[in-house]
Amino acid sequence: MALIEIENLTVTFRAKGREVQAVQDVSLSVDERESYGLVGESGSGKSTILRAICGMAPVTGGTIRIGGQPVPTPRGRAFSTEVQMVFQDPYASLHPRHTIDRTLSEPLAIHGMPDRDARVVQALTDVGLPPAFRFRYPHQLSGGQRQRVAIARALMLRPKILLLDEPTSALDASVQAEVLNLLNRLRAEQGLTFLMVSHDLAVIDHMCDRIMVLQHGRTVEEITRDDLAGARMTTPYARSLFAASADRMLEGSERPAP
Amino acid sequence: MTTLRAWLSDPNPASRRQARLGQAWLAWQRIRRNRLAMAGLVIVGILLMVAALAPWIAPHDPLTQDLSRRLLPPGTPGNLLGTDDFGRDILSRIIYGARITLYIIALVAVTAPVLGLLIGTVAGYFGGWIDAVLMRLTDIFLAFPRLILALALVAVLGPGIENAVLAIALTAWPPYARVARAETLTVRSSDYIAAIRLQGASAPRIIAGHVVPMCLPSVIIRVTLDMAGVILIAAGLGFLGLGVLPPTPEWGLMISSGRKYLFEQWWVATMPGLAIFIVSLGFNLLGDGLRDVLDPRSASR
Repeated sequence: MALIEIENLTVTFRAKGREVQAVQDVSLSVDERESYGLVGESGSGKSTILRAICGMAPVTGGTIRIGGQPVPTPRGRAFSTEVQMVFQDPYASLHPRHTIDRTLSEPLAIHGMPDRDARVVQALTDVGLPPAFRFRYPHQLSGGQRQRVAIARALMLRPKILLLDEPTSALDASVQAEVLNLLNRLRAEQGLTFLMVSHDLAVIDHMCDRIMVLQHGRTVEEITRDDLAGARMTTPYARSLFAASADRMLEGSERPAP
Repeated sequence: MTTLRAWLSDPNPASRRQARLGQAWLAWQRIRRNRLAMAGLVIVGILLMVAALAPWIAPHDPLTQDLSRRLLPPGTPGNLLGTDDFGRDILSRIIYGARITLYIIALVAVTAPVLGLLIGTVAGYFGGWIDAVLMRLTDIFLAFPRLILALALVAVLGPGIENAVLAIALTAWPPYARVARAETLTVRSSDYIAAIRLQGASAPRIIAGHVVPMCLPSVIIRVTLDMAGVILIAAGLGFLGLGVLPPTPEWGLMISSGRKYLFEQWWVATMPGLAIFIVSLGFNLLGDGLRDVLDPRSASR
C-alpha cells in the first residue's frame, strides 16, 4: 500500500472575489522509501501540493491519505511526527533570533521528548555540521549550513516522510550537490520517503525514482527515472522541459546523449 | 579584559548564556559608536544614580520648610538652585523628585508595553474577528486624547501616584498594540512560523516564543521614545493636582506651585522644568540610538 495517496486534489485560492485554481484534479501515490519528484515551471502548483499536505493551503476537493488514513484537519501533533517539510529559502525558514540549539530543541520540547542535549548534538552531526555551531545564530551561518540546520530540524521528530520544497534552489551549484547528497544519504540511513518539488530536472534526476510533470496546476505526465534518462516522454511539454535542462543533466555522466 | 572580550565575541559559543551575552555585547558595541545615543544613555544613567543616591547627595531634606528662607534666588549659599515658597531647597526636591519620576516611568514601562504586546500579537496572529474586535478596541482608546483620558480615569479613581500610573498605562498601550500587530502580520506568514506550526506547536507557544521576540525591538524603541511623553503626562497630572499629592517633591507639582511666582521668582518653576526637559531629551536620544541598534532592518547585516 502506498504511504502517501493523493486523489483528485484541488486547491482553490480566493482573494477579493477572484478564484484561482492552483491545483486541479491531481492524483499521485508514493510508496514507502520512494523518492517522488514534482516538476514544473513557476506557478504550476507543485509547491501548493506540498503545502496542501501540510494544511497550509485551502483544499477544496479530493483526499490526502498518509499510511491509508485521511489526514486530520487541523493536522495535529501526530501528523508532525509523521510528515515534516524543508523549505525553499534557508534564509527565511530559520528564526533569526533563535540559536541553532533553540531551533532544534523546540520540536523536542513541544513533544516532551527526553535527552534534548544529546539529540541536538546527534542531529548536528547527522547533517554534517560541527557541534561547535550549536549556539550560533542563523546569521552566523552560510546558506548551505542553514539548509543543513533546516534539514536537521525537519528530522528531529524522526518523521517517515520529508516534503522538500526546492531545497537547493537558493544555494550555489557546489553547495547544491552537497545538500542533495546529504539528503540521499539521510534517506538511505533513516528509511525516509521523499516528496520533492523542483523546477530543475537535473536535481530531480539526481534524487527521484518517479516524476510527475505539472503545468498550470494539472498533471501533464508521470514518468520514471529511466524514462527521463532515455528521454522517453510522451507529451511535448515534458519534452521541452527536458530539453531546457538536458545539457546540465548529462554533464559529467556517461549517459549517451538522447 | 581581553579574555572576556574574546569569550564574548567567540563565533562558537559553548552555552546558551554565552551566545546571548555575545549578542548583547555586539549590540553594546553598536550603540557605543553612536554619540547621541551615548549622551542619552549618560543622562538616563545619571537619573538612575541620582534617584538611587538621593538621601546622600541631597544637601537638605526635601520636605523641611523654613519660611525665613523662602524664595531665595539660585546661587544663594546653601541653596544652589534657590528655595521655593515654603523655603524648601529646590535642588534637594529635584533630586528626590527623580525617584518619583523613575518610579512612574518604571511602572508604566512594565505595564503598558506588556498589555500592548499581548493585544497586538494576539490580534495579528489570529486575524479574523479576534483581530477586528481587538483593533476596534484599540481604535477607541486611540481616539481619545491621552491626557484627557488619563484625567477622566484619575478623576474617577482619585488622585495619587498609583492611580496616575494606572491612568497613564491604560492610555499608553494602544500604540504598542498597533506596532506589535504590524510586526506580527509580517512575521506570521514567514517560513519559520510555518515550520514551527508544522512541528505541532500551540498558538500560545508560537506567540510567546516566536512572534514576540520579533516584535520586541520595535516596541522597546517605541517605549523609550514614549518615555518623554510619559514624564510629561505625569508632570501634567501633577500640575493639575491629579497626580502625586503635595508635599511630595514631584517635578510637575513643583512647576505647578511655582506658577504663582513665575514673573518675580522664575526659578521656582524653571528648575524642575529644566529637569523634565533634560530627562525627556535623554530618553529621546536613547530611543533614537536604540532604533539604530535594535531595528532588525538596519542591524541584520
